[in-house]
Amino acid sequence: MRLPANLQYLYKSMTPRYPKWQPGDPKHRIFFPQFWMRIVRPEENRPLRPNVVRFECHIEMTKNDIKQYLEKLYKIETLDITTIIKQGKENRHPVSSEIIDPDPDRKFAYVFLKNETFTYPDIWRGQKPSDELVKDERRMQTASEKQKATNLYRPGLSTWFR
Amino acid sequence: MVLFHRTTSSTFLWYRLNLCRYKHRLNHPGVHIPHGVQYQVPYNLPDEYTEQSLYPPIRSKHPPGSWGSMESKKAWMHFELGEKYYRHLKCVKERLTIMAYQNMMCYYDELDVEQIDSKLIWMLTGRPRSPRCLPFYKHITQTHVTDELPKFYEQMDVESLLNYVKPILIDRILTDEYAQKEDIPLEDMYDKGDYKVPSVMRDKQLEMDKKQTTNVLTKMIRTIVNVLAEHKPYLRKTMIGSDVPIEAWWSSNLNGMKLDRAKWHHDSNTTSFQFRDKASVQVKTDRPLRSIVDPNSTLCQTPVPLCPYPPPAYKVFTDRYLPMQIPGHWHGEGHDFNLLTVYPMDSIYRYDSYFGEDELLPSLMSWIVNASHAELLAQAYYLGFSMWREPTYPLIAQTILSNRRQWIFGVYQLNTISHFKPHDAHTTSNICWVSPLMNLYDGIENGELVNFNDDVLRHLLRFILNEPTQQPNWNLRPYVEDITNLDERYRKFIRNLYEVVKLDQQDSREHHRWAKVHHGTTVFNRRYAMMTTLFKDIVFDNWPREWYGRTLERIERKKSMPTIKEYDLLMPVTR
Repeated sequence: MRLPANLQYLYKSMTPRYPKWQPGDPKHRIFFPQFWMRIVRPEENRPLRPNVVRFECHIEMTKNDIKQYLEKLYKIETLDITTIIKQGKENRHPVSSEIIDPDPDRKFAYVFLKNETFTYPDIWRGQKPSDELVKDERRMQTASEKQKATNLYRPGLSTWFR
Repeated sequence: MVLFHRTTSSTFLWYRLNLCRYKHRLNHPGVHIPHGVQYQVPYNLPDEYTEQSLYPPIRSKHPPGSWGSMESKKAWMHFELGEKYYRHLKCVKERLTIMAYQNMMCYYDELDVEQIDSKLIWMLTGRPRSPRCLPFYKHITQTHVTDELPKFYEQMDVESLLNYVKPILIDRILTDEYAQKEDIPLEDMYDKGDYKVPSVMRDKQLEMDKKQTTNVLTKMIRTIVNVLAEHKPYLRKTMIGSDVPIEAWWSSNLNGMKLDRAKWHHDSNTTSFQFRDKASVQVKTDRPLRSIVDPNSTLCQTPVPLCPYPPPAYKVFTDRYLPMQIPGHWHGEGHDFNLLTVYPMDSIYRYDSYFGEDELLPSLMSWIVNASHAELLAQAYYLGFSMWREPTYPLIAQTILSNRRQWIFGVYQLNTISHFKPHDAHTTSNICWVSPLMNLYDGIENGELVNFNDDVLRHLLRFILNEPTQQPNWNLRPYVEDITNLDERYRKFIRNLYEVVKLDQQDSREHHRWAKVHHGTTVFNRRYAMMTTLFKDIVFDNWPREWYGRTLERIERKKSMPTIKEYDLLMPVTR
């Protein structure tokens, strides 16, 4: 959901609302716009070509803005940019189904580089922290199963001890 | 302590049948199956017992033909599908309607409203939307691309005709450039003119340019054909059309790639593609063009490199569309072969897809490959070939992309259609020859063309003077039977079925994607059901169950339900 400025992170706040531009006004200049970009891992079911990088950016950036940001600040030549806004999940209360704690909308940009290739690096070296949680859970499950097995085969023990 | 809770995502749509208001409309008691029920046919075994046990014959691992690493069950399923098509459907029109009908799906959504819609297909356009996508198009269409036109064109002597045609053509071009007076559209008349949105202006300019190119190109080609027709009799029998829709549908193998959408329902390892474009000029003939390369040569036998990325990586997206095959004409209108097709190239420069000079030629090459392959595929379907029956002779297409000023020529030879087979099953591949980008003239100044290039005219004349084989001594349509043996009612049924496909309105999806337009898409299903019920005696006699449609299935189920007490004696004892 598109939350108001006071409920978003500062870096996600909107650019100030200037008065509407009428034809004949001077060119619209914005100083210190809220533009930022961040490299993001490609999605699981969407393998990218080697020239393509997936960025997350401020929701108010357009394709031209992204192109100029990369070319002028980082000297990266781009051929083609695709932007997509993914709406954040509106999490609802389990009982009253009222919208509570909505996730904010995010904008992703797929940038086609002209002369370079990029692959997202393997940060976890094959071992993700979530794997450890899975291992913990499995260990707990095996322990509980063992306990249950010992309880089952104790003759003379009443049912309320299992 | 964090507990992992993974929600199991089911791939099938579970229809909420307990709360479904339309329980009486489900096509099977308790569960709604989008494609109808496949009833088991009882075996026709004899009633008496035999001393030796009877077994069905053992099938070889793969059916006849090369199937590569496909599983044997799937390969046999595809083979039997093809046999079914060719056994029950005698006419091409029926086959096309059945192919369109198989893509429809009926389901109930969350509000228990019946939704009949076509399945998702990857929509391809002529102009490629992303840069450097030639490997993808080569992989989809199984083509090899070379940088120059075949040598056989240089053997044609064209000089005398060139000098004859050149002044007429220059005259024509100049008159068309200067005589374009279009009516001002209504919205511009009432525009105050103080601010013009640049993107809207660009789109309008592009439309005007496209119209102008189509007009100029049709006139050019018409003049050339009329001038040359007195020397060449085959040109007198050609049909020339402008603003021609070209569409083709085919299914291709995924080769192990995981995709969640746009799967062909017969085989979940395949996706389907639909090409859709409009050509500015097309010249059609009765006879096929001569093949340039023997399909058994080494050039055609080399495999095409695999492209491991899915279509969204090349900005090709899905849409709900009816699978259509249109090589520029509807079936039955004669002139099944195309001599020449010309596409307008203006959109390359206008949209955001103008990536630069270096990327221009590969995008044009991919446009040519895509467009010619689609045109030939649709032609092959109209001639009776299909993905289960390869073309017995190679089909040739000549395409031109033109901007009135810049020209690029391409020749395509189609050898295979079976893209649904896995990568190692392909024995032959298609070939495309593309010429370099040339300028006809650099500009127009003071009523004269600057730097007129003769090479372009030479190539154009060579394409038009490439005479098709007038007396082909092989069967052009081997898999199509003569329908004059059928009675008039059957022929009427076939013709009406094809009209159902033709009438389907496909352009109603240009508005927002989230709005479902029911009146635009359910019409095909309704008309198909109506047509099959009107001719239900023919359908019940000739067609298998999968092609009936829901209304007929219900009628047939009622018909086949026994009404007598001794119903158990109707089935044979051995079952």
